[in-house]
Amino acid sequence: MSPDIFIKATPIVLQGLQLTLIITICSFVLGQILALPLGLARQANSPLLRWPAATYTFLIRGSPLLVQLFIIYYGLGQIPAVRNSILWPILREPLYCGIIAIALNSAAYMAEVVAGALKRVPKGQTEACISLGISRRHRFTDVLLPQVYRELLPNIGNEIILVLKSSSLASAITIMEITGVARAFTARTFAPFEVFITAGILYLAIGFAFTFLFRLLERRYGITGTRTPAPEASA
Amino acid sequence: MKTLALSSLLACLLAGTAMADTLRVGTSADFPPWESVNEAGDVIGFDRDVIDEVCKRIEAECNVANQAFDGLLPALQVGKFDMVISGMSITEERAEQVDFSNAYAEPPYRFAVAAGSDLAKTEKREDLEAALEGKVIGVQTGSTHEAVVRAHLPKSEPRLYERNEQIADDLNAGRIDAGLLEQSVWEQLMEAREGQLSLTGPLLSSADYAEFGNGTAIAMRKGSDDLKKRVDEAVASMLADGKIAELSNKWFGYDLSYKAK
Repeated sequence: MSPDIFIKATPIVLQGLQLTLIITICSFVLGQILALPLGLARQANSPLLRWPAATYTFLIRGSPLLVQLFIIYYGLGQIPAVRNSILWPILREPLYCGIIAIALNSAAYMAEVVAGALKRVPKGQTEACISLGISRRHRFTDVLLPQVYRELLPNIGNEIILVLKSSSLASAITIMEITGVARAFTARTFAPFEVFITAGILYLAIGFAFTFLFRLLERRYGITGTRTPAPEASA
Repeated sequence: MKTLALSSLLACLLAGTAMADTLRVGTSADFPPWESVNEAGDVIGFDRDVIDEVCKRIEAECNVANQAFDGLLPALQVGKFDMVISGMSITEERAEQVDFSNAYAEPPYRFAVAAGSDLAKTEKREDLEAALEGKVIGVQTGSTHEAVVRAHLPKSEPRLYERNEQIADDLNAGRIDAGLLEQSVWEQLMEAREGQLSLTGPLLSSADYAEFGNGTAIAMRKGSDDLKKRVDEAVASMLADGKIAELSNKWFGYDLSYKAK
């Protein structure tokens, strides 16, 4: 334990910050985008939609993310057909592979959450919409989605923290995000304690920032379980 | 009664220390022919034979455990191991943290590229250095090779891998342009990947790049002076009587025993 290693470790660990943020935000956004159609498919009447979605979430949630990362990065890279395909410029880059793997993983978890929220919307609303003559599209975009996503804000805030922590696995496929640079620095200095404590503090700080951001969003748009009177629209 | 109990306890403790001590040895068995794991799950290889012979000569019982390379020295420092033997080169940074025995071996290093790459035909070191400018070079995290690339190829981008097979696979996939590893490791990797890789440039040693370190040695915790003295003697005798050369020929097919400069 030496204080000067802490001081030396800080700028090095910070080198990984940018990549950690890129992976976290891109994977999170991509995951959320994929989660909606998947969640809808999970709740669909047609088994042709329901079963593929259920299989997908079962496979992804049932296997470790690290394994999925290895399959996408090292596994697909072994197949000549993949290397000759138009997808190769994307799959060639470790960063894109990392973002895709973490996004696909996050989407599976989020799809289940979205499906659950869709199920909780009272049936009476659909009937009311039909009797009011609201079109299918508007029933979806103006009635269903706003409710579902406002209710899900705490879950979404939770998911971005999980994605942030998942991003630390990206170092396994040569991406030098915070954990990656910390590991490389440890391998040179043999001071794991100082370096990983510094990395841990940085993760806590990013997580805190995301939590704070979602707290604000929840206060503004969230639906609380007990219908407290909505705060005066001051903004 | 109490005295009897205490004295028998003391006797047991003393008897324990008097017996041949058991030493825990750490290695990262992913580095054939230096060390690897056979079908039965045992660690085998050049280093295994070397450490067995060392233990025989210092009259100690040794247990070899397998762990990832980048965690070996931290584990040694916190006392999980008493010795580390893992094809590890002596470097200044490592020597600040741990003590090294006398070097027992010095292997040659080499660059390799995907078969058919433009870089495959380079013969001179200087030409290769120029050709590698702006290219991505795969190395193992925390290895001396990483230090070599950073120091001598500042215009190339080192990409850090946990395992050397991953470097070979990414070379073949075209994700990286070149890789820097030990000659013997390339030979193993190429055996399993027929026609995918080709070696390039000359054989390299610490004479070319000082960052390769001063030979391969056994690492011990700082302050284990008694053990170090015994291991040093064992290594010196094994170099003198040709045991290291014999083991080297068995595993590598050539002699890489350390020659004092």
